[in-house]
Amino acid sequence: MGKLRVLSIKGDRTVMWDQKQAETGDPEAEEAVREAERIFQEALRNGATAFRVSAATPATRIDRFDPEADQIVVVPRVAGG
Amino acid sequence: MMELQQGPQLLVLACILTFVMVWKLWCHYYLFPPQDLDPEAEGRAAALLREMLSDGEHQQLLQTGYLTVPSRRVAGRVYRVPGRPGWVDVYEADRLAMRVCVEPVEHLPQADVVLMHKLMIEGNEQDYMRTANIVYVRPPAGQRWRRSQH
Repeated sequence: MGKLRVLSIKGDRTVMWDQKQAETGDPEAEEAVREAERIFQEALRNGATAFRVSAATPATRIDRFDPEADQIVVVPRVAGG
Repeated sequence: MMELQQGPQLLVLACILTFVMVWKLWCHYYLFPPQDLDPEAEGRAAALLREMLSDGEHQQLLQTGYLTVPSRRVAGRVYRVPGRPGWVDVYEADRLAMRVCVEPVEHLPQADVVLMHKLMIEGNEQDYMRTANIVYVRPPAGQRWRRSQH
C-alpha cells in the first residue's frame, strides 16, 4: 500500500492506494491512485515540496508522483523566518 | 526651540516602542509559543513524527530537546533541529557555525515543523539553505570569514 501524507494545520491528511491492485485493472484501486496523484500535483502547484520516504534511508525530494513509493510526505511552502 | 525639546522625547518614545516590539516578539516565540488549538492535530503530528524517526532519533529528541540531522552536501555539517519553536543551529566540525530560520508559510503542529526541517535538510538541503534566514556565528575551523557557505 502506498501512502500520501500532506502536512497541514490539522495534522497530516493521509491518502492510501494499492498500486498492485490498480495494475490488475481494479477500478477502485485505479481511482485511488488518480486521487492521490491529483492531491500531490495540486499541493506542488501551491508551492509545496514532496519527499519520498522509506525506513532507514534519508528522504528524497520528488517532483512527480510515484505510485510505486511506499510513502510520500508533502510539506507546505516554506519561507525564511 | 520647540523642536529641540521634542527631539529627546521622540527618541525615548522610539526606544519604548522598539522595546515593546522586541519584548512581544520574544514572548511570542520563546515564552508563549503559539499553541495549536486542535489537540487531535498535535497528536496526529506527534504520531507521524514518531513513525518517521528511528528509535535513536526519537530518544535524542526526547532527551536533548533537539534532533540532529547530518548534511548530505557538506562533510562535517550537522543541523540541530529544536523540538520547540526556534532557530536551527548548524554545526560544522563540531563548532556552531550558523543559525538558520525556516518556517512553513501556513501554521503546522510543532511535531510537523520538526519533520519539515528533517525532510527539507535530507532531501532538499540546497533550497532549504537558499530559503533560510541565516545568522553566521563563526567560520568553519581553519577557514576565514566568507559571505556564503551553501
